[in-house]
Amino acid sequence: MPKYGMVIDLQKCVGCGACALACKTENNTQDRAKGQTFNWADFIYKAEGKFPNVKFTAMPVLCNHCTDAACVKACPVTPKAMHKHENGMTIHNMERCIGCRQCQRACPYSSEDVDKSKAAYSVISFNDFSDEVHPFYRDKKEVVAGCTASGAEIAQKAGDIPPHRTLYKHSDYASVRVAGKVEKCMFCEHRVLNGEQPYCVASCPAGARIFGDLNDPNSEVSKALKAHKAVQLANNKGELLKPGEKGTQPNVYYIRGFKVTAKKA
Amino acid sequence: MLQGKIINTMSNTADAIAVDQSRCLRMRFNKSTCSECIKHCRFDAVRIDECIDIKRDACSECMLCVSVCPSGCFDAKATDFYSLISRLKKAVNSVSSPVLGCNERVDLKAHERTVCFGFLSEDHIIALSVFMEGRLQINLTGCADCRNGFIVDTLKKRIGNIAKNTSLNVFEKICLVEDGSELYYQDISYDRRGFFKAIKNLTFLHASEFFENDEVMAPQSYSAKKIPIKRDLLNRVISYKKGDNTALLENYYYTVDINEDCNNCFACIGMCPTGALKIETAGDGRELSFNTSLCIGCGLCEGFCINNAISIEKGFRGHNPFEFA
Repeated sequence: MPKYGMVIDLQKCVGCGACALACKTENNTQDRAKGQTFNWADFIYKAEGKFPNVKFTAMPVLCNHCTDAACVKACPVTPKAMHKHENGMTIHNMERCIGCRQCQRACPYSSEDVDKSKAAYSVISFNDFSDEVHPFYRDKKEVVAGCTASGAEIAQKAGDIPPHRTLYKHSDYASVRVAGKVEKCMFCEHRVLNGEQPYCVASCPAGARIFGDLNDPNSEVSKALKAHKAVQLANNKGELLKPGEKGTQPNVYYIRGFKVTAKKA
Repeated sequence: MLQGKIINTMSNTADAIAVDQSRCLRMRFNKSTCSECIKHCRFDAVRIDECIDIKRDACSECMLCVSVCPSGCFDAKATDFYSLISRLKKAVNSVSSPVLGCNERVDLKAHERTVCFGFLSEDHIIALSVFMEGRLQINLTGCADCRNGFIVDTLKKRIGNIAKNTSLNVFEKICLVEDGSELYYQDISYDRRGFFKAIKNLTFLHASEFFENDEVMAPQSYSAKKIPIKRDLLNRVISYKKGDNTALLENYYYTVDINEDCNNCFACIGMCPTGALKIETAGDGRELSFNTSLCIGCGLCEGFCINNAISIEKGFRGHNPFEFA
């Protein structure tokens, strides 16, 4: 049985955001609102220092599909809505989810409200009980009054919400979420089971994301981990696990981190 | 599906009790210690681990689990209690005191039959005593030599509780007949027109039951909010019965208290199996509101709340039990 993981090559990543956009179209996630990001693929951007001595880093982030997943431990329902698949992926079952948000609280990479907690991102987002998903495509107000169509009009013409909906089928999750449930990155299991790469990986123009079987020593991920010193994230503030620290045993690794500093004259 | 159903009905291999996993409190909240069904089952037929299940070969179909489960996880198939009530009400037109019998002993006299009486919870009995015009006789004369005979004591206890808790004249309305000589059975006599009408009604009834029963089989989403039939029956009693319902509200309804430790995380709304908790917009903020008519007093919210902000107690002392407040 494979154990899937991801290695992100920070020297190849240019921070273009193609992965984040690709994910939003593939998984039909909605816009950020009310402290929920709904970005299954996201970024930590850091700008430090004072001109001309400035440093900028972009770090793509996603669910770490931890081996010792805190979200799974916290899920109160039986069988667990948030559960591990044998292939190492942490998958969320939409039918069983009751929307209690225990996973969101337990996950070190998630925040109940990213705005309030000033977190860079949240792996798990929650669809409020009282709001329908994709409010933009239900809103009848013209985007530019008297000039453009409304979101609802576009959705109606396209015949789906969201209009660009990617239709896929998976036994645990639907292609669009519903109110009162959490959501997170599924490593595109619906694609992986068909022998494809997760869509963020397939869409990266720089080839910075490597996805594969961590148990197979000949896989690209294993080779990359062997060739380079890898680090893992410790939380959603961008801190890293210290050497020897296990955390929740995340399965997303970062290699070839670098620092750009202005050349002193 | 229909074909399977017909075959099942013909060969009588369909399970007598449908289990809706998503309603079980233990399945919903892993820290719940509810074990009402296990406690009451005399044959160790209920199994709860990774799922909740009834061992068919051990089950005696006494239906006690159906009546004790607070959240309506079990459903006695082939009992549409609402139509049973209306049929019994109709029977009062022809006989002074209709007799309710069980499916097990078809040789015993009865105007209407249902599954084992173990499924009659206090709420069911209250509904019967309020909605029935005349006196209802429950034919228990076969119970003495039935493997499920123990349900007679349970029924007595339940009726006793109702008499103690409420002012309903339940002893007069519901009569448990254990001795054959005490049974007062009047034949419903039909003229020719009445005979054909009765046959027509019966055929329609069975056909509708046959087709409608499919709903029970559909797997439920855990997030679907649903009140058990017990709660619905009592709600109907409350809205039907004019006058003072204090005793019922005091003994069969609940109040949820939310203290100042609540930080409006609304996680309990997801945990609640029946939808008794809801977000209400108050001014520019949002707050938790509660509706007792939807609360089954299961206590999941209390056990689940991470801030210990919820406490639940018996008895409703508000104004309108059907309103969120």
